[in-house]
Amino acid sequence: MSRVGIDLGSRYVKAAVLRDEHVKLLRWDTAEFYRSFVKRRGGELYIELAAAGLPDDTAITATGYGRNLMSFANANVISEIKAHFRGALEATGESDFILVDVGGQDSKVIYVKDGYIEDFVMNDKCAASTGRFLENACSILHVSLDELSAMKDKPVKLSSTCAIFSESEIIGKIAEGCTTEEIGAGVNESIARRLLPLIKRFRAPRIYAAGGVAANGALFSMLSDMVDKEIDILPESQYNGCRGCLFY
Amino acid sequence: MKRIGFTTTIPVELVMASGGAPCDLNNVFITSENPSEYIDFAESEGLPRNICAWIKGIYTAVVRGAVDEVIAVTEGDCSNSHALAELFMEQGIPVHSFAYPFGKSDRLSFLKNEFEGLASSLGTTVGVAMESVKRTDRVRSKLRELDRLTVEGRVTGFENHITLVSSTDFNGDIDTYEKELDALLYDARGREPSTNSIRIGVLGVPTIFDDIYAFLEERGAQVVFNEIQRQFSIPSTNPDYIARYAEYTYPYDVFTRLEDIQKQVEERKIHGLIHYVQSFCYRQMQDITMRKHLDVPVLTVEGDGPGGIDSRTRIRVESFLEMLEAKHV
Repeated sequence: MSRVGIDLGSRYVKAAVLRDEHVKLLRWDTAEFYRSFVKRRGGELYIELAAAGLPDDTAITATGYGRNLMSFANANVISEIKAHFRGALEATGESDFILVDVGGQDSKVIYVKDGYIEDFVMNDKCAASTGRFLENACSILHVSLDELSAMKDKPVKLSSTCAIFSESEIIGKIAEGCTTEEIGAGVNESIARRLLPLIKRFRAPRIYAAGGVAANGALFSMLSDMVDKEIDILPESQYNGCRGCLFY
Repeated sequence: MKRIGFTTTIPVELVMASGGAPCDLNNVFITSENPSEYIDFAESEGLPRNICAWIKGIYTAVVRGAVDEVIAVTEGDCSNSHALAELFMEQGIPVHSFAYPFGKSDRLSFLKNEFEGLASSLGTTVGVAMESVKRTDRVRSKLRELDRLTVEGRVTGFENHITLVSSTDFNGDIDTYEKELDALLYDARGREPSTNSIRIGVLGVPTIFDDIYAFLEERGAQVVFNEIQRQFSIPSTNPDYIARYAEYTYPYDVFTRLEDIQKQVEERKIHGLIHYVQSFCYRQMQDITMRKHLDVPVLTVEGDGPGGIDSRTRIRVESFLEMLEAKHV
């Protein structure tokens, strides 16, 4: 029998399939995943793995945004904190660390001590410190996420507390004649500044980063300078949550 | 009977002695049929979006005639109460003021002055109020029993919350309040203690969303401590009536509150604390100090407007309980 861990994110659904001791990673657009693989039968929701090319008897553990809004009749649903914690614990082999997970709509900082979750914080109410904000900024600046991920020099100051207002501010900076690189660096820096107080609450020997936004090298390099500590990006960081699900 | 409203807990016996009916304006707002509409109305009158929902709720309650007069607490609670009192005065609503001292050294003498000042403003004296104190003492001792039964798991966190929070004005009618309390106590004494194993304390001002209690209990937790609600019930048994309000922690500094919290955490064997903070409230800053001084895990939960807890708060609370379960239980 195979096992699958599924992380239902706000932008992408990620899956780790464990079969014959091998893990295969998969990813779908979230809306596409719900349309294609989630079916309602007898008032209950099922994840139909056969449609995704997986055996019917696969045991499913799922996590992700909306865990409280949705439950699946054929899946063990766990909290995101638990999933991400376990993913990082298994990936690093460490028992004392801070994990920074930045996803599409939320950012989480988990503090792990002696192999247990000691505490955690999440961004609240606003998506200005998340991937969705980066995507919107890219679309205004006409650059790709990869290009944005390299912008770290001479950041312009973006001071809005709101993601939507920040977008207007970006337009203002373009009008002022700031270069795309400077504005892109400003976008990355604004996210790093929002993450900083979440991380500063805790002290641990190591800091790891996960989630889709961990691929943004400029952002995490700035954050690393701010906390004056190395931040290690977990391998295949976007899949940390679904990998963690495999252990429950 | 004159209805006397107040913006936060005051020595209610002075109002009773004056022949007025006490009315906690916070309770008028939050127990109304549509509290959100109170906020919409206050905002339509020009109250800013970035001030706390309770101030707006109180504003609407008063201007819509819930009370005849208002006691504004001008020190020891939110400084927005000053401008709120001015708005009432401007509309011709009689306002009395009451202040808790900021400093520690002359706390009791400061309070004595304030008690006498408020009593005189209401047309009574502290001496006359001692008769009312006898009446409220009987109820307050029953509230201490309610709190003990909560620690034993025979009274739910929500029952504890709603009963203690209503003790600021005894719902305007202490006889009915006492009857309902007696019935609850009678029922609770016969209950089996809760088997929920995670013992939670709730810190901070009463939450604007009270469904958090049901949510915690569904998820295996037992709320055994409501910090501020307990303080609202004036738990001190000091024979000096005024001194009880010097021992009442809510209006004083965060360190005074921390002493009480640390003692209760130990006595009630609390595994984790949920610190509720109200959006735009100065008390949000006290979270920093609290976290530094408390040895058990603390989850800070923020609320803004009335309504149920949002899905993000649910995720955070649930993860917090999972963490406590893994660590302690």
